[in-house]
Amino acid sequence: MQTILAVDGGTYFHHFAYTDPRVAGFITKRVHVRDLGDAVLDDYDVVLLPCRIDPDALTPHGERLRAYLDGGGTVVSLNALGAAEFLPGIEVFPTEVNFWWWLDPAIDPGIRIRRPAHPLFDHVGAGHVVWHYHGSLTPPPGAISLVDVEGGGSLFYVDRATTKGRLVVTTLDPVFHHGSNFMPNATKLLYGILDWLANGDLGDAQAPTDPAYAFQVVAAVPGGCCAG
Amino acid sequence: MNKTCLFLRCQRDHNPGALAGRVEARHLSELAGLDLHGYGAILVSMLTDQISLAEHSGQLEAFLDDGGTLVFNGHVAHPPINGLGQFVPQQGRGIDSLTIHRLADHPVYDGVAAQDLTFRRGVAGFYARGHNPLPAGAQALNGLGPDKVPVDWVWQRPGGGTVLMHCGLDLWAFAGDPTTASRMAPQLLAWLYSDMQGNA
Repeated sequence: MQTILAVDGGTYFHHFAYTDPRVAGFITKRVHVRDLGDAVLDDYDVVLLPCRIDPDALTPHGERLRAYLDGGGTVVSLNALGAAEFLPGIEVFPTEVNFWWWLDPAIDPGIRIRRPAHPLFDHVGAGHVVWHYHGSLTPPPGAISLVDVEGGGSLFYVDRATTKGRLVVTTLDPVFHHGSNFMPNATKLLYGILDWLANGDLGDAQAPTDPAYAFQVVAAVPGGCCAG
Repeated sequence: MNKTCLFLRCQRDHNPGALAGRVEARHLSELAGLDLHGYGAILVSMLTDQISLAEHSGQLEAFLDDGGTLVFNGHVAHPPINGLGQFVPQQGRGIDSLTIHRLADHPVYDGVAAQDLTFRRGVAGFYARGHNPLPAGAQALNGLGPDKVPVDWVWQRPGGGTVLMHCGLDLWAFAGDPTTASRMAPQLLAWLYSDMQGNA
């Protein structure tokens, strides 16, 4: 089992997500971002940075995060917007957030799983990445996009090329929605990501892709988004 | 002295359009260095670092004792002042459990239809998904679900000052809605400023 240091930005949704017993079971230690300087990152296999954390609180730690990555560590940023200031290789573009696409079953949100054979998807269901997203990413050279939005870039990638470690970045914000008691798919995605990080195979980001499944169309999970 | 509203920014580019030009925006990290006598109200966003905010409880309670108003949005995880309790998630499922009911009139909700809080584009659940417990003596404004559990309330503190609680997305986040929900942000500011003039 991999050990996880979960950074806490002090928001209610960080608190209520991290104190959910199922989430807490995956987390080795929780640290407020202000106390991150006292944490020894190398003591953990994974450092988790939650969504909607203030980038200015993490910028002072940029060099330490880079050194941790260069030492082979894994950083997971659920906070792509603003993350370029403290993590390497991140290029993110804001997009209009569409909370409503799922109201019309005929609409295809264009989300595609690019690497169905990646170990992440042993833990995350194909429908669990299908909801609204906050921006899209251009993966740096050598990074592997796991989830794309058709014609719009990546929503979730693993970068093992920029550093000697592993940087996982997404524009989905499951901690916010799970911690707000808000959206079933966000909860499933968060549980799945954490199960992958804690118990799964992290070392196979370059998983060979079966050509027959190179490009999988993902269907929305009815009732999984929002409420009512 | 004319007082103004202090908006506690959570990120450097956190500038809600509905508040632009009507509030003084300062990052939460600046709070300790601020003389709060110049402000009649403090606006707290749902994105706030509540762990850091709670460290300023003495400063916030002194501000309230002096007659100030605290507007709090979001779920309480780390109570910033005495008398506030931790968020309780809504029980039950479906639209009934997420329906908003008006319990008392208040200038912030003047002309705001409860239905426009319950539904956005026909979807329930954006406005509130649980409640922050009502302090003794507080007035419930809007209730949630069949039990009409108060999710919005106004509390005249025994020690002085007023707390306006909204247990959900920031009230000013609805300013662009094509419904009566858009009335909340301007009416909130109007209420705060008229209250300051009344206390001058």
